[in-house]
Amino acid sequence: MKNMQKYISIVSLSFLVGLIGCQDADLPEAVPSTQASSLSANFRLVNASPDAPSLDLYINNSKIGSSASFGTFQSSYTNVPITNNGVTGNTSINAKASGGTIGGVLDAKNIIFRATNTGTGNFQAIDQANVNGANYSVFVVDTIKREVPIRTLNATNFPDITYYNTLTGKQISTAEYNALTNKSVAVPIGLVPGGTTDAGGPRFWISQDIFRVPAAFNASQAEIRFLNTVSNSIGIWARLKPTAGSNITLATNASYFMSVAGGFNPSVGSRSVTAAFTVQTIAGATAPNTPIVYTLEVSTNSGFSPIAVSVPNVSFTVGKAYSIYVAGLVGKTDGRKLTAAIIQHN
Amino acid sequence: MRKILLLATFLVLTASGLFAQGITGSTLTGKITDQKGEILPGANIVAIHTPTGTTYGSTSLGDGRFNIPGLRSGGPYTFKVSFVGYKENTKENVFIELGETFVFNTQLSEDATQLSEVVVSAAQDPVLNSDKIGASSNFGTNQITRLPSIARDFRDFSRLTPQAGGGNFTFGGRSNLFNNLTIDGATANNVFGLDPLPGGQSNATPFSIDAIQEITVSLSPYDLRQGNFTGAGISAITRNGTNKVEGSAYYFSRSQNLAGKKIDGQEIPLTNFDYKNYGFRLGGPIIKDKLFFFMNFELENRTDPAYTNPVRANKAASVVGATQATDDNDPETGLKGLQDFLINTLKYDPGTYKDFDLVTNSKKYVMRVDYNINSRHKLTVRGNITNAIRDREPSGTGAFVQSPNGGRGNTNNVLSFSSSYYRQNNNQSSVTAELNSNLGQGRFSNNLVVGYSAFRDFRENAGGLPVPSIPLVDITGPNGQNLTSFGPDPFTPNNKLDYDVYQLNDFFSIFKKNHTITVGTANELYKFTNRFTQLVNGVYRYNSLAEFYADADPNPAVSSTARPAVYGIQTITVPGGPDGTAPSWTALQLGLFAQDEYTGIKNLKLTGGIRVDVPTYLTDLTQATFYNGIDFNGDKVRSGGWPKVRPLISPRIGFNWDVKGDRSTQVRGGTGVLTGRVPFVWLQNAVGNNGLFFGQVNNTAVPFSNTSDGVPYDFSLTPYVTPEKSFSNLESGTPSLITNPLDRNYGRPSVVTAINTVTKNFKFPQVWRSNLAVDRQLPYGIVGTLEFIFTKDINAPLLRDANLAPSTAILSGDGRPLFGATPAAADRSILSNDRRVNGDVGQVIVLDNTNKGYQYSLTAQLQKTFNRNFQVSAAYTYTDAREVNSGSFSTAGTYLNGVLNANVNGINGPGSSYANALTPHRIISYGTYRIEYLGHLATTLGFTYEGRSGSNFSYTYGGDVNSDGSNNDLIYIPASKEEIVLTPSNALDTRTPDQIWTALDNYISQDKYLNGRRGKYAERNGAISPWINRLNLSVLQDFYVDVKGRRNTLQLSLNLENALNLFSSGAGLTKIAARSQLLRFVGYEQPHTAGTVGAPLYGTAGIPSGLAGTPFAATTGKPVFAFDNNADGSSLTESFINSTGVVSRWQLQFGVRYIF
Repeated sequence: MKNMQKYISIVSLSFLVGLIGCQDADLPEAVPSTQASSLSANFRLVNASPDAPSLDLYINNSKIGSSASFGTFQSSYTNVPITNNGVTGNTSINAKASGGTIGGVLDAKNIIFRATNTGTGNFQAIDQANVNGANYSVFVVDTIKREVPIRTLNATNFPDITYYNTLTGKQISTAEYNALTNKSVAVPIGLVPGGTTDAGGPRFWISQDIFRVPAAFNASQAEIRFLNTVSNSIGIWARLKPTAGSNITLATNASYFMSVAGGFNPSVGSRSVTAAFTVQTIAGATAPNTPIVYTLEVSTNSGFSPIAVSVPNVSFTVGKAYSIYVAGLVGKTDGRKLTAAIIQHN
Repeated sequence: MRKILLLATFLVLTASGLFAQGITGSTLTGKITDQKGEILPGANIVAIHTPTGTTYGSTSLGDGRFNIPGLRSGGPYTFKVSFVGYKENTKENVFIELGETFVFNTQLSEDATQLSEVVVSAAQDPVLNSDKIGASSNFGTNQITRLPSIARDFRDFSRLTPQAGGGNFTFGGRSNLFNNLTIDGATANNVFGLDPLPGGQSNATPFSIDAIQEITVSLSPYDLRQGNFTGAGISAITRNGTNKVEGSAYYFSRSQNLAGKKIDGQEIPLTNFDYKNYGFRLGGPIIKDKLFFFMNFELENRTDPAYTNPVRANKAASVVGATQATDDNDPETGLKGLQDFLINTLKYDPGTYKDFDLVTNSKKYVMRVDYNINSRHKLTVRGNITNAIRDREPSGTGAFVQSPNGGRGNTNNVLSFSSSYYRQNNNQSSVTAELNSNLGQGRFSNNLVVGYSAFRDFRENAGGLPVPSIPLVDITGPNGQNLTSFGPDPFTPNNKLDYDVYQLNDFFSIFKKNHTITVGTANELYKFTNRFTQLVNGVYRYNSLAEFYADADPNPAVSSTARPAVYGIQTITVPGGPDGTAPSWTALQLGLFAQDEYTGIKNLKLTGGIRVDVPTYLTDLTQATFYNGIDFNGDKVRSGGWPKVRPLISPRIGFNWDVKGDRSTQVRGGTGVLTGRVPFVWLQNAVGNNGLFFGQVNNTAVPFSNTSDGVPYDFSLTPYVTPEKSFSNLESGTPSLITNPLDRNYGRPSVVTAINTVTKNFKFPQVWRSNLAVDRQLPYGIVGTLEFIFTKDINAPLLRDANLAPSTAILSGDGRPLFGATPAAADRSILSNDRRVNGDVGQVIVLDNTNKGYQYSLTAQLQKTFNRNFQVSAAYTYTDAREVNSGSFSTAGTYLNGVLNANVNGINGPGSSYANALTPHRIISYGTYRIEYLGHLATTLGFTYEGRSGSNFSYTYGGDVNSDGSNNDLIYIPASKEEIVLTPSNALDTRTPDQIWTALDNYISQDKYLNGRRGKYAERNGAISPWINRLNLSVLQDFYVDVKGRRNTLQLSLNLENALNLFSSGAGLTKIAARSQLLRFVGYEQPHTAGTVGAPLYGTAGIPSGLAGTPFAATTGKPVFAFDNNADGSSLTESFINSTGVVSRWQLQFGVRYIF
């Protein structure tokens, strides 16, 4: 009988448990965020595409700042909420024509940031640990007529190296390259992957602008960097010529900065880099707080003869950071001719 | 509640005897009295199985009772009872179900009394009989031959069990790996567990339905002879020969032309296929009344095209989701070029990339001999062979290497060469002998079953070709998806599984007054040899055909430094090659039991007993002392160690109470422990993945440097082979003898990605199951049943990774534990914020137990048997089932890291949630009607209807948000915009974060489950797809001629599956989740990286000194997600889409059969 009672309780208990049933899943209490993300970064558009129309910048599909036409840039950074991340990049960067049509290869389409010529990944921050509050200059470079990178094949139908002829702006096969008398005008693009998604036309070159706090300088210094955005240039020389004293050399045979690892590579998608600033003494030795007035001179040869661009009356403020860039196309005399501009970053 | 308690109390208090339920046979029992009700000891009882003339005899004992166990199920039977001085009493035309105890109480009248001869014709009610105690369902030849089943699969009948689930062969919400299938009493289960059934990998059923006489599904048996399952026990018995030569030859066929072409009004033709199924059965006497034979042979052939999706050529891939573009997949310049290159330059023929057939084929033989040695001993010997093959597409998983995007099977993006398709072979042969003995004038009986089964599974290349010893190569196409693969499937080289099961069961029963005492033993010996050498030839992945050519061409036109994007290889590090990694091992499961069935109280049967199972291991395994010496946060593992041998006790009691004594109402039930066995692949994991057999290289760094790495990353058709025991120093390039496999230069980032171990205290699955049921005779001859089954897990499996360090933080904006980051160091040191405990190994997977988990079901069933030609049944079952681990796995690592282990707390803390095999609501109904007319015609109609909840699933993130190393994290369902950080999917996504939130918010609002859980985490298997209706119909038209007492029938059959879909293409659809990985994790607001504190992650290049990265610790940032648009750029707005597979289409199968 004692056993019987035991059985009874076992049976009863099991039914009891069964009928109670329906336990909730074992899950911890969620602790959701109570406010929206507070991360932000600063973006500035620089239009360095010689034949592009006036462009608007879109960060995460929202329009940022004012429009910028060729040779101009947004006068200040715009602070934008972003979602930083450590690995895959997640800030969408687009540029659209203010008038609606970009023209050229792209026609009405957007210029989008693409990390590779087959990818459509979003912009990835460079210094991932310090994205919040970082400053970015978003350069639009290349002409709107830049071709979609073409894939050239050899006699046995295998992919072959494609070359870019800087004189014609055309892409040529290895066979055509071998037929050139002056091979120095052509540079290898490499093996172009099949089905590239690089749409041709203008691209982004995005620089994270990391400059020092003013206290890091002495009383006569500023930071200056030089950027060559001229897509058909072989090399660019640039200097700052003071009214008296020695020149400051900004660039010696600087290559187009979409070049990859020293070689020209027009087939790559957009790029993001950190281009370092160089500390320059820009105040007079005798009167440290008096800025020296310079003339910016840009040339396509080391002898600065002829000088392609000359910008007079350039001066710098101690403790500030500047980008000097040259844009346009070598050999053009119309609106696409070489031009130079100076951006003050802080 | 109190009522139930009282009821249970009452039931048990008034309980009394019960008879056992056989597995292979049935029992006849009863009491013999005279006209005055006085007992008649010494009366003779003879039961004659009329088709075979098999005679079973016994004598009534002192209490007038008699027992004849071991009766062949079926019939018709004739019972004859005689006693000197009394008139013989005869009962004819009795049918007995498998496992049934048929009660035949009879009165004899004295010869002098001139009573007319008593001739009764009857069949016992299948429900309302004293034998029914637990939940079970029985399906005989009537159902098997008459109900629709286009697959001709016994599972189409076992699923008619009310408590069956919607999934493949699941019952009561438990994994199908916890079932046990026996044929003629011998284990026919896939005990290794790569599939619930033998031949499952080849889509073959273990036996032909034409060889089967009866199927019984037991869910809560209190008969201790039944064991080795915690799900359901499925017993099938084969047909037997009789005195009459009987047979049948048949042919069935179907194709895509006999299937629905529209899904919900939309024309979506089914891929072409061709299916044929034909065979014969024949039975008859060898010696009349003495020796009989039965045989069945069946062939099943199916061919499907290998390529069902054209890889679209010349389509721009500049939009997201576009298919592969331009020349890389234009067969003439892309794949043709690759094929030419491989044949001409590398002298390797990768096979075709143009259409070829995949073959699924099985041959099944059954041979049975029944020998009536005498009226006391009956012997049955049955042998069967099933040989099955199936050609399959290459696995899309990467094993321990990153998987190729889009897999390797044919899609609009992927077209792999035929050399990467493989053929699965599943060969099975089995011999069983059963001896039923009736001893001591009916006072004892003995049932002896001896069985041997051999399973031989192995792989070849598709078409039965040898597997070439070359690496697997994946080449990515321009849209980032895998374009093509060639070389053998990653898991195919050397893949082989041999296992043998020896079985010895003996049950001895003593019939004594009101008691039937049975003692018995059920023993199984298993021997396994499993060779599994994944990626043993290596895998290369190239980002484009161009890069492959550049790397593989021995004389490239252009000097190139191209390298694979991924290179991985598993090398064998023990002597003996592949065989050296596949030690044979033997396990034994001993079972002993004793039970008593007591019938001493009027109208009550009671059974009780105890069974002891002892899993034992007979093979010593190699100990991997290196791993066993490691301290995993206080946890020591036992690589190469078996669980402790210990007895597993299963007590069970049950009752059947005939409330009024007239079988109009019966109450039955019981409670007890069921002990199952593990799918032995769980233990094989620990045998094979002990950390000693293999070394693994998994390199995704680009470019690799050949000179410094010392391994031939440069493409080579010849697999890299390590000299035995000399695979080390990969980085220095100076391989040397391994003295310590934990040498930090031996492989990277760890020695092996995973080892498997079993805890010392691991126990085979056990559940405590109880049921309570009421069966009642209702008006119009309907029998109604209400049945409640409750199961509580005692030992359920549990997996954990001992090498996962405790969480380091709480995920900001979410609240779940956040684990350390992926190790970045090339050597195997542990870094700050590393999620591993030890750097010398990846995951250390431990198989352990939990007692969490329960299942219960409530069934209401109505059955009406008009006669043998007209039967209908309908049932509704509500089921709830919870579990921590479903047990539905063959590879522990795949389970632990997969979506079946979806979790919030990390892979080691899945917690209890809905069972994977749960089908909450299910209606099952079936019926048959047969009419004979015009003397030569007969028409049989049959239907089955299943209405049920859809499949459950888990909403998880795409990606690893909690950084535990696995992409199986349950989502948090945001209640408001502030609770989630959203970002555009990619550069082509034109939505602002606000617009993305609106799209997500709308999606959540339209999804009942998600909307109801806003502000909470999704539950594992918490979401459920819509209700499924499935009606299957069959029509059998017989044309018969009776010649000399023998009926010759030509039978034409039509089997219509999913008939509702024929009536309307919008009905009978199966809907599936549109996107269960609802949100794609793209990263944290702040990086989450392992590193040495104070050191920058990416160095200082380009960053002025003083501005280097901050030290790396656990992230404090919120996770960032993308809510992707559909491939066509539209927003995801609905939770479910129609499955376009065969499950959503009607299918018709024609058959022709000759029966004699």
